[in-house]
Amino acid sequence: MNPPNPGDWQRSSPFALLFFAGNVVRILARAMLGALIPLIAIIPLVRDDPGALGILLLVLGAVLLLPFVVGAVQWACFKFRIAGDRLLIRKGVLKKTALDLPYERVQGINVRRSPVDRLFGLVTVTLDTSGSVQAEGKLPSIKTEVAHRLQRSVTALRPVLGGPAAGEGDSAAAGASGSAAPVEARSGVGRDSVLLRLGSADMVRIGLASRNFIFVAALVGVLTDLLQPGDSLDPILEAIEAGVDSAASAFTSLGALAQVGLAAAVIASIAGVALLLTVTAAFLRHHNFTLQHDGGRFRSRAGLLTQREVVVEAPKIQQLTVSQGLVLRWLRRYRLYALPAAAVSPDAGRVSAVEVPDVLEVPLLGDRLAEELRSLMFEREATAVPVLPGSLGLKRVSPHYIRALALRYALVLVAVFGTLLLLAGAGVFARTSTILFWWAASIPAAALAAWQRWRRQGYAYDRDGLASRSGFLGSEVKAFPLRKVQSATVRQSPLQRRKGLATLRVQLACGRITVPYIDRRVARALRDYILYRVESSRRRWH
Amino acid sequence: MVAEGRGAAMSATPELEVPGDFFNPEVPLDALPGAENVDWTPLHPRFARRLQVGATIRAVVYVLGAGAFQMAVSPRNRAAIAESVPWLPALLWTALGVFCMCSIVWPLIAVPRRGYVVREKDLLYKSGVLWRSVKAFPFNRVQHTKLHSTPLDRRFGLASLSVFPAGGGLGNHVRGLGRETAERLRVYVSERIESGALAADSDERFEATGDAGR
Repeated sequence: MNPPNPGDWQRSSPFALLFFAGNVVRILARAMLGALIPLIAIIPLVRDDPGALGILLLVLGAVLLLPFVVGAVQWACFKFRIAGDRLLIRKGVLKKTALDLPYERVQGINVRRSPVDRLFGLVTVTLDTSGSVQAEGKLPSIKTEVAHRLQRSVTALRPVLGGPAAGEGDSAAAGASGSAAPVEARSGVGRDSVLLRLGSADMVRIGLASRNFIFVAALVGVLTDLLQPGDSLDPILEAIEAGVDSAASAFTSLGALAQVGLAAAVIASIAGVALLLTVTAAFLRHHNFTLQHDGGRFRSRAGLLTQREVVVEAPKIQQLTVSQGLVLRWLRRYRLYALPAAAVSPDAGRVSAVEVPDVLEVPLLGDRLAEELRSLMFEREATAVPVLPGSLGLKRVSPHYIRALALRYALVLVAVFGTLLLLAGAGVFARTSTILFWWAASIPAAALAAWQRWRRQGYAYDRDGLASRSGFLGSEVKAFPLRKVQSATVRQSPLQRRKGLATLRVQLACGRITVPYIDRRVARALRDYILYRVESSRRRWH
Repeated sequence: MVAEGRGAAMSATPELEVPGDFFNPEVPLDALPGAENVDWTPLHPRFARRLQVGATIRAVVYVLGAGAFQMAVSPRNRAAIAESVPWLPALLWTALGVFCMCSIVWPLIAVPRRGYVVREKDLLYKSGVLWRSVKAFPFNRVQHTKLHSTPLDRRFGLASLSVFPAGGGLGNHVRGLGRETAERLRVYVSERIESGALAADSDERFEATGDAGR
């Protein structure tokens, strides 16, 4: 068969069948999980009735086979064409969809390579089109050279995707200055500047700092307890114990100490296994992480088996989130997310229709690079807004916030303990008093938690941007340029009204940011200033 | 602590002065007075009554439902309840009654505290009795608008206008507008969106060709 001409209708590679089948599985899982579990649960019940069991297995088999059949039909109906100025997609079996995607609308090209894709030189391309166009172009498992041609076609038509490259010389990548923007940007395409590369040591750090670490550790602990009720681990422990005992017979007082040591060893081994798991996950997801910057575009590439490439343009970025958990704080590193606008659904307000685009994530970076990324991604705007959680520029909110939070927690506790009280039965005095005791005892904890939350809360602003910090143990800063705001709300509770305070709530295209318990005048002034910045801005916000 | 926080906040305030040349007057739409400072437009006078009617209908449904539930309780369970917790049905009925009465009276308190202002560049909406809020929707960030009315709304000649900025967020609607006002508002907002989009496009072109004015 001849290779298809560039302008011809093309099919995805047959391996795309996996993608379509996967889609069907996802839809089925969402719709039928509730039905499938009872079906499987029935199996042991009808084990003795061969007829019923046969029917049941037949149904199950059909359900398992269905995705591949549907996927194959969908694959056969999926065609695309790379035209001069647009991408045309025809898909759908019963409900035919014709999707015309002008390259002008394309905001970013995200590439993903699953292990199967990599084996056969294929890629999955997603054209990100958040904004006014609702439909999203996704080409599963197409040939790499086709993807390259598509990429070339798009960049040829949108040379100034990101506008002038960098800030006014405050960054390493400031080689391309703003004067002859289009030419510079075009020549910059080939000359990617790498901002960050992460190696194996960084993977260990990421694994260590993973939020799932505690969770995984707990899971490992439970699993070892469940899976080995005294077979493989316990003999070892007993042997150790016996050894310790024989040794301890000499030092009789060492028995308790040995117990403690043993417990510590068990905890350490559980933590070790958990660390191994999270580090493996970090390797799978972030292996060979590189972050590149060219002509206002940010490109991250990472992954051990499935390689993911995320491309985000600087003007599209709505918000930067820099977070730092306890471990990251100890390592003096940060984690950064650049959030683009969530795709606007045709009938906004229906949340299910909103497709969330890929978020650019930098799993581990130092303070210098975080600051540099801020100025690069916000394009010289909001240069004085702090993005690091430890910044001294962040102001605290009113201490009345502690009281409000404590009150909220206490109310939740009242609800919880009230339910317990009802369940215990009002007549049983002993239980009632116990519950009341625990409720009273947990009030200081609630107050302490509120105090800690208040300590983490903070905000700062300059002429172009605003930053809000929050957190409990760790903390994260959300920063955004003011002109990207979608709507602003000033809210006052009865307590706030008495104290002359207010809460400022700002809606961005990627979510909501709250600055609680600040002076009412500041909140209103900020709101008015944000409105002024938004309404006087004539640049596109995405 | 308090004094410190206030002091810092106040010293920062002057930074945010809106320049004098930024002009954002209210719009002299028929129903809207063109005042210097924000003058809230109340909602339609029939809106409170419409909410009360809605609440009454809901109350009737609740009471009927509760009655049906009580009928459906089997005699054995009823006897058990009468023996162990004889006060429970009366308590539940009282709670339901109080809830229904409150929901019927509530619009009389809540609706006068709601209001909106259409300005040249944004729409303001205030609401809330205990928790008061003022929402602001700049027109050049609104994606689209929607006019909505239920059968009950139409009986009272009312409609609600929803504005949708990007990124969703629910509750972006002004309920209880007169039908004509709502339609006028919708047309006005749509025009503002379009003119804003045109301006942004022309600027984009300018920025792409000329010296990027960033």
